[in-house]
Amino acid sequence: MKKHIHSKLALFLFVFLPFNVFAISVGDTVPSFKARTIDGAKNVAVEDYRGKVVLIDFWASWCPPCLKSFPKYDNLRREIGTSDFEIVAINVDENTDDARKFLAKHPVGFPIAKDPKGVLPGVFGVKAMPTSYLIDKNGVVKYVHAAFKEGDIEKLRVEIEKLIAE
Amino acid sequence: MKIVLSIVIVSFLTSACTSVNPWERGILAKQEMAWEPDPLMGQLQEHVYFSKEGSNGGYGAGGGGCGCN
Repeated sequence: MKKHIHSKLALFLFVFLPFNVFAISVGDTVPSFKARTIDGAKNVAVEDYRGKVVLIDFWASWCPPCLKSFPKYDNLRREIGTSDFEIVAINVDENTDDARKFLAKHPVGFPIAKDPKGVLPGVFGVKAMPTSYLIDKNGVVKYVHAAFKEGDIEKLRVEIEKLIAE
Repeated sequence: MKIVLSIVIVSFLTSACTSVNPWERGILAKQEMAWEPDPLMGQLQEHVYFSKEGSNGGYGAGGGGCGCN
């Protein structure tokens, strides 16, 4: 009887467990990836920034909190400087032209990669838009932040400065 | 058990439902996908409803949208 219940439970979990339970979380090594920049000029790879603290941000043009976060991220990057820190934004718009129009209105200085098929958010197990992952100099995820509200940028700044000082 | 297993596997494979991931909600986030795409018209209808029925609230529904917080 007990064995019967176990097999039913295993079956239930297999069928109904969401796939993103395997999401990247704090302490995991960031998955290696390479994505084309939004202008198609070059590839962005997370390995290019090894030795720097990196903020990987998943965003889309249709996401209102992303609109709030972008100017704040750009200011933060300017204030901290890019010698020890970089932001890599990954756009997940299905139509990349929407992202280009967004960026024409709200230009930023950090590199922006495109992933219209949504492969990378699937790999990371993104649960909300926007979601950002703070990676330390050794490529380990140290902070995961979903959504964006006023005041979040200061929390993020503290985390970034802590990681830079390590 | 074999029958139950077969039913579950077949129903899983033939299911027409799928979850929409947070990064796939671009179309759902469009204004025309809202329950009431015209906010002004929505407010007017709520006001008419309130005046006629003498009750308020219970508008809208959870779920949908862009999944943004």
